[in-house]
Amino acid sequence: MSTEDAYKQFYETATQYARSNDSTGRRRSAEAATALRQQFLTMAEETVSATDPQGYVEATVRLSGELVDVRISAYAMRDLDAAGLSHTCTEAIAAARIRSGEAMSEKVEQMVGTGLDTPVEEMIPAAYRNMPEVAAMLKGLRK
Amino acid sequence: MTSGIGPEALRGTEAFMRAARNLQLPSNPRLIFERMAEFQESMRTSVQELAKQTFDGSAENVDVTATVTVYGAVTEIRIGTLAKRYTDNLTLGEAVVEAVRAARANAQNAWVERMTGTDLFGVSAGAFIPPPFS
Repeated sequence: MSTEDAYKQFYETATQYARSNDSTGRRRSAEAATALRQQFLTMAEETVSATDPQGYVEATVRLSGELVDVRISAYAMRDLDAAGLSHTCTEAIAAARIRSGEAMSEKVEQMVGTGLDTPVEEMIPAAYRNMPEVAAMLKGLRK
Repeated sequence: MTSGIGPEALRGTEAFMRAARNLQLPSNPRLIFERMAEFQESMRTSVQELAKQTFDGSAENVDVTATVTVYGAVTEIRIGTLAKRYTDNLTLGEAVVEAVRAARANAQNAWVERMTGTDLFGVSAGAFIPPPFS
């Protein structure tokens, strides 16, 4: 199941059982939440790569931000001194981290249908928005 | 931090649910709120102080050092002149990764140590507030 499918299933199940008190509804909501959680964990393991502006060094990071690989080109070894290479590695790692943030944002947008800058109430199923606890939380967030 | 949604947040929620079973709540509700306010203030101070610090880590066999923030962002890589001269490019790349991992481990340890020193109703904050990166 893709992350988008997991979110869709979670959203539909949560909406359907928003006011349910029966054990089946709670169980199905919990199962959907578990599947969504697993998809998030899988997504965080995905990797993206980026280079410094000159393309001397390529860094690869997971979407969770963990650095997994740094490839220093033979040209970098030839053209740069130790200080220059140090700076170039830092630039490549920073570029990869920025790319991972963008990739995470894109994935959330694909999944939820809106970006990370979307007001949180638009990401919450309508059936939940009017529940007293959720309404109070949203009111607090708007302050 | 690039996103508030991540495995750390999920692990934190699970850890909190486990830790919540061991909470020793005072019988007086006023004390509960007072203690929670103290805890919140203590956490705010801890996080602000940790955010100002940086943490170093080095590769074991190559002169490469990395500096990271408590959020795991790499602020500096330092490759020694001799390491640049006598190490091949692939090994040097691996040494950079090793140094960053060591620095992040040090940042993670500093976070855990700081959180472990504070408790909420008898449960260490280290039990339910995970480091801000994996």
